[in-house]
Amino acid sequence: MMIDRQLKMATTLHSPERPARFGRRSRFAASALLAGGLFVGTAGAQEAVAAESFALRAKVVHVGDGTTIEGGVVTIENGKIKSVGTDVPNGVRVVDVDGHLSPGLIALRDTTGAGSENNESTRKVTPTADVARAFDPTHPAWAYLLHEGITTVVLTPSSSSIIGGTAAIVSPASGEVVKRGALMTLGASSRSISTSVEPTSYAGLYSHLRDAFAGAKADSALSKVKAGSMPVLIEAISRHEVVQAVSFAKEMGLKGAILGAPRAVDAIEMLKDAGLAVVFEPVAVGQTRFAALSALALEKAKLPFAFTSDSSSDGAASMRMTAAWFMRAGLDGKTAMAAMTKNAADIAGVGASHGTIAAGKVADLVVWSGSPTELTSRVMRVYGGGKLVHEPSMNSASSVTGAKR
Amino acid sequence: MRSTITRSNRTRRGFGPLVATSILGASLLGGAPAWAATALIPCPQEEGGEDPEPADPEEAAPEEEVEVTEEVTAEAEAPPAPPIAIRAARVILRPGKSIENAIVLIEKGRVVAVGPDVVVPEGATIVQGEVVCAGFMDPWSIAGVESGTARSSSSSASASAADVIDPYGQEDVLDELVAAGVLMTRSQAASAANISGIDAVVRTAGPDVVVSEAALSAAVGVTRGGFNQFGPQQFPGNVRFAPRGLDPIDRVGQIDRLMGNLASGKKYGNDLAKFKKAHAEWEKEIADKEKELAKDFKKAKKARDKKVADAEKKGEEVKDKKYKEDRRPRAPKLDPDKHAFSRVVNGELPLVISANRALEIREILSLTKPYPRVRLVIAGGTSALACASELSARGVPVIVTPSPANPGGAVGDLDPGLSLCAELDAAGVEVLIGSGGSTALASRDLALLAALAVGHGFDREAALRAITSGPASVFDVGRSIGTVQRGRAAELLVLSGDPLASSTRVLAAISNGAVVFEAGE
Repeated sequence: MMIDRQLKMATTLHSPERPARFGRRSRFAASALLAGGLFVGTAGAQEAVAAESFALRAKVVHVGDGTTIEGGVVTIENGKIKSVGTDVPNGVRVVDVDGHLSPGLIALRDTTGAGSENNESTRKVTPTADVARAFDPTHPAWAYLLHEGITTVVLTPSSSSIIGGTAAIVSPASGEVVKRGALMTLGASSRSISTSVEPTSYAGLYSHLRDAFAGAKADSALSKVKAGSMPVLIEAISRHEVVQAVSFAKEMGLKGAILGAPRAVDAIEMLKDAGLAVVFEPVAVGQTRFAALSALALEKAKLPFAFTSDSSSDGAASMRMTAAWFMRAGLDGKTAMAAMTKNAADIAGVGASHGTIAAGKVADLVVWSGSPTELTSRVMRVYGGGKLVHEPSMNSASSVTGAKR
Repeated sequence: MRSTITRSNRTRRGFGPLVATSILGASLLGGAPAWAATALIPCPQEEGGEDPEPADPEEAAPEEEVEVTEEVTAEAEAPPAPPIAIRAARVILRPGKSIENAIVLIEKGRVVAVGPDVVVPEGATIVQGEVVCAGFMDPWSIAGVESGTARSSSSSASASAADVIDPYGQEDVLDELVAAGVLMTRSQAASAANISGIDAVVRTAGPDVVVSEAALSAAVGVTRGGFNQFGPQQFPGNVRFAPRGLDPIDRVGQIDRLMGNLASGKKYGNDLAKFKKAHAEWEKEIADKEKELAKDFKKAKKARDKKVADAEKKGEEVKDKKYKEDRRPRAPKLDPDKHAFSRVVNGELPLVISANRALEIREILSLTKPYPRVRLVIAGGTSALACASELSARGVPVIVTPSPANPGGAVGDLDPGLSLCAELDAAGVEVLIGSGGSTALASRDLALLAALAVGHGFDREAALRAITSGPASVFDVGRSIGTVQRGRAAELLVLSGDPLASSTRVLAAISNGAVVFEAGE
């Protein structure tokens, strides 16, 4: 009976006319319902909208690769993008959105809702662990990500692991696992070293890494990594750690990105040589300028980079804040946009289905009150797989008075 | 209607230059470094130590802008510099009012003309830009304060941040602030202390102290490092170094102590005022008596000489007449901390209390009611929304630090997260945006914090006000920063676009009448 109720709720929540509300008063309740509904009711909801095709017409469509279309029209059918242009195909219902439309933003690390289920705390090397199993689509905090326009995240093992296992691409918007075993995460920073579990030194860390790579069984995830068919995210923070990690990746022929590296500016040539991208962690207010200088250097060297959102520690808004912070330091808005969409999808290995507004891709779309790279822009609507999954009620605070409390 | 009470308070609050009315003024000022501006201390006109009647909102004229006289030192300090003419497509005179294609002319540290048809004098430095607006002011910062003192957890009410401004050690930080357009800060020392002392308004480009006594700041519920007892107390080993957790009783105790300080400050102020009054009367009586005596001086002298001669003859002591005027009134025992609080009680210094929980804010509001002249400012205010109507009615501004971190935690459902600014504003509370002084460099990101608040429902103009004219008026530097206005000090930014846009860069900063920053290529 409970499931029936949730299913019903899911269908009503997901129809474009009855969006989930994200008001202040009801936020926690609504988001829990939203996520809960998604979890149980995805199949039913999909059926409910399967036949529907509609078009979104926006002031500006940000494709995700840096280009924009004024007065762009995006047609959606069966949860996928059918066409992108400026004309409305015949017989398609048009929804005019008073704002900018962008692909859903993609974060390269977020562990919201995983609790500590992504952390095998007594063992540092667990290459067969599948973090998708730690994904809890009912966790209410996923709503915070939607509220910041983030529709896809890489759910990673804990930073304290050395080989924590395979990360999963999950969607806070649809509650689905987009891709299991998408990337292998390697911890090559001091965060992976403790005094209680071996290794207890940086040298020991690399010894464990090498042993694991040498002993990788055929057809295992680690062998795919060695063959270059599964990308890696290598966590490395200090300059020294980055140099070590990049050398290791080059030696082993790994493809993927260095995660962290606020001072990547000092390792541009190495990164270029190894063909590695960079994933920046959120820059907290008052931090030094190195991360921004690194982003500028990567932009100049035409190396791709992306961001983590780390919303459980830094807050979901920190991703766009970091991008804005880089822009304030001189980063081009197009590069910032691509870093949160196209480049992020490419680094995560889901560029074929996510990251841009293009025919055939999943219709994860966000309506903003202005340009998505402006911090002053608000999220007005979020579509996950073509369904309206989030519409904040507090577009203006005028209806809310603290006096009533 | 909003903040009527504050305004009426302000119109009633008189200011006059300090003419040795304070026995402490000299000693408090004496500590300021030589390079600090010679700020005049605003002090109330004589009140006889009595608490004034609570301000009647009806009495206050609904003025559009209330001018508060405050110390401006630009004239005395301005270095001889050529005039500066800024040409811009848009000049934001103040939040909500801008003019297109205008020139701002600056001479001797002041804006002398703003408009489309300003004649640029020969030899003027020309600066071009897209947008001109007032420099940003961070109302909650530790910028400029010597780094050890900034984090200190021990201080006293009379300790002055102006004494610990470190122009050398903080040079790099201050340079970054200027480059980001943050031209003034209200900087506090001892940010981990329950009572931090007296804050300074710092001009970051100098650096120099614009106001050496800007506010008295205190905090409720600050956790700090210390030895923590855990486990049963009878075991001596159960102590470790960790942030000291504060339970609700600790925090209520902190509020009570703070309010006790206000009470003793009030008494001290009254005693001081009584003394001043008695002292003035005494001096007048002395003068009158002297006049009276001088009138018959020759006669009196002859009489006394005779008296002395007679006494000598008889081998007796001369007994002079005792005058009641010989008894000098006694001053209250010098107590700088009580004195600082007495100045808070009579509204000379705003009182900034960092508090987040609704219960604490409510307690502070209720316990400060008996002090109608206290200019209360709440800093932090995570759950301030629960007290919004009273904050609004009493005109208490809240300094918010928008943080991307998810709401929740200890304050739970009362914490609206990033929409706090928007919701407080909607409830009629005056919102200022401050960096919160987590690090000295945090002030640099002030414009981003304001933009973040706008992205979560805060009105764009209100957000610009919250980092320009808002802080300037709350901390009495409205004539030095906050607007682009003829006759006002020139603390201005030349920007490549809208002040809150991500892609906007500071092209030039003008502070104290000179170009202090120019963007390199």
